[in-house]
Amino acid sequence: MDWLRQVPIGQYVAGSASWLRHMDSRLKLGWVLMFLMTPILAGAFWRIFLAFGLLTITFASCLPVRIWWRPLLLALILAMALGLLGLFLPMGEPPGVMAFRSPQELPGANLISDSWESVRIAPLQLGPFSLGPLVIGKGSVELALNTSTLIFTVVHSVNLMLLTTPPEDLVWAICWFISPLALIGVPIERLSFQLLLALRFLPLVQEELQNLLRALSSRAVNIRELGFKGSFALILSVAERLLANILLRADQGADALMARGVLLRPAYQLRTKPLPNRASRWLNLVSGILLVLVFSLRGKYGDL
Amino acid sequence: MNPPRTGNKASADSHILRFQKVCFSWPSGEKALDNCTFSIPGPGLWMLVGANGSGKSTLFKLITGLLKADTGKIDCNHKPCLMFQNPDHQLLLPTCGSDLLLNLPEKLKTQKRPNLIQNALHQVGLKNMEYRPIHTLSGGQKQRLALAGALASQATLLLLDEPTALLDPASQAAVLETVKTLCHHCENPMTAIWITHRLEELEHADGAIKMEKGRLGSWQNGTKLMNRLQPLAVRQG
Repeated sequence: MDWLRQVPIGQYVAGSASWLRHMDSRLKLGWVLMFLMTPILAGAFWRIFLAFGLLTITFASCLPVRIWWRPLLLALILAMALGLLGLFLPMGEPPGVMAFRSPQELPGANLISDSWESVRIAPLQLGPFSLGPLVIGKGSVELALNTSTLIFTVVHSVNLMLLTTPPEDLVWAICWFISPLALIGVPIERLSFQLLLALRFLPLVQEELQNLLRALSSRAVNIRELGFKGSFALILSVAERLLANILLRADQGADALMARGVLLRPAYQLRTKPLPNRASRWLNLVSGILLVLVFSLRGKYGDL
Repeated sequence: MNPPRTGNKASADSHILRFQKVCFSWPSGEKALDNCTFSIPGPGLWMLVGANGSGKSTLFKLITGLLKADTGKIDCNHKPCLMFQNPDHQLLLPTCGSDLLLNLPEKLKTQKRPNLIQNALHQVGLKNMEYRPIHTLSGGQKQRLALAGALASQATLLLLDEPTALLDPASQAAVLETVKTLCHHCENPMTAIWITHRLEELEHADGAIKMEKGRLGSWQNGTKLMNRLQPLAVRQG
């Protein structure tokens, strides 16, 4: 379990500090959907607004800093790395002949549009290699901004929700949203129960893999001496063992379920969250109104 | 069957569990239980010892109904709850509270659920841990959570299959103490059948029995059985 304890990214952390914990999980899911969906076809201003909004929510959440600083830092690094890639990668080869004539051919003509290129870094000579020229144009700036803000909002909003929402509550919220599908025969209760079992099973699979890797490292296997064929055989045998262990765990889990005499429970019966009090009702009302407001702002100013 | 001491004043007719000439064979033909006859006369902590493959775990599966006996009769007047050696095999939901909720009767009123959960956690020393994700618990805490699950299910017969096998000495003592408390000091004492390979645990039992080749001997004082088996265990290495 060491990995799970050391890198608690995307996992629920129990506690009571923070108003985010007291918010209805359906509303939280609604906010996350807003962060995922409204950047689609939106302008740069809206995307930056969302990223700063998310940062504000994080800082104002009253969550202990030790819970969110690491995931936030990782999301920022990932977003910035992808943004830098977008900034420097060529947007495509420019056509050899432009479709319009050079403005210098027209005496006295004023060029009112900005230059397509913002920054040009001359080719760099790195020993025998030549790097560049690195060109940052309007398109690449736009691409970098879109990519980095989207990655940040998607990763961090989901992570913030997972940190503050018990899995049972999340599954219940998902079931609430898809409950109309029960009318056409979708087995919502079964799906939600299986999802909960799967959420418990994931750490077990991770633990199995960790145990196998430990067993491997304790045998001091030298990959270089094994060669390609030997290494490949080793990977296959570990994968086979992992699969066998996972199936064994699944079998034991099924036995435990049979021994309890429980084969299915609806998601609402497995929620541990206490009933909402007056303060959390107000919180839900305010956050619901804000959510509607943000969606309407997106409709009006999202293209900017 | 003559147990040395019982947890309460149970009469001879009010057995909690009774096996009468029960036989069970695996599909391969291997006999797991051979004319097994024994009874649990009353609440308390009853321990089973025996070599691997002697039929101890099969006995538990027959009590819970996971397996059906070939012949013989099993009378069980109490609701059993099976606890596995590795608690990870039976804790099936992501957080402590939801795993306990899974054990509650389905028709129980929603308002009564939180109290039952908190009581069960309190009894095993895991107070206020209903929101804790299970993967963050230690081995001993997981085992005690499994025990809380048994309490929440309102089972009165605990079947503990080597519950301390994977635990450190401190956690072993904590689990053993919890079970002893449940079997002796509560208003409604429970019955626990505990399979063990740790002979030193036998001295905590109200009665102990040795299982060999699918058959059970007679109930003995735990300490006496421990003293009798210890030299054999040392000789076997």
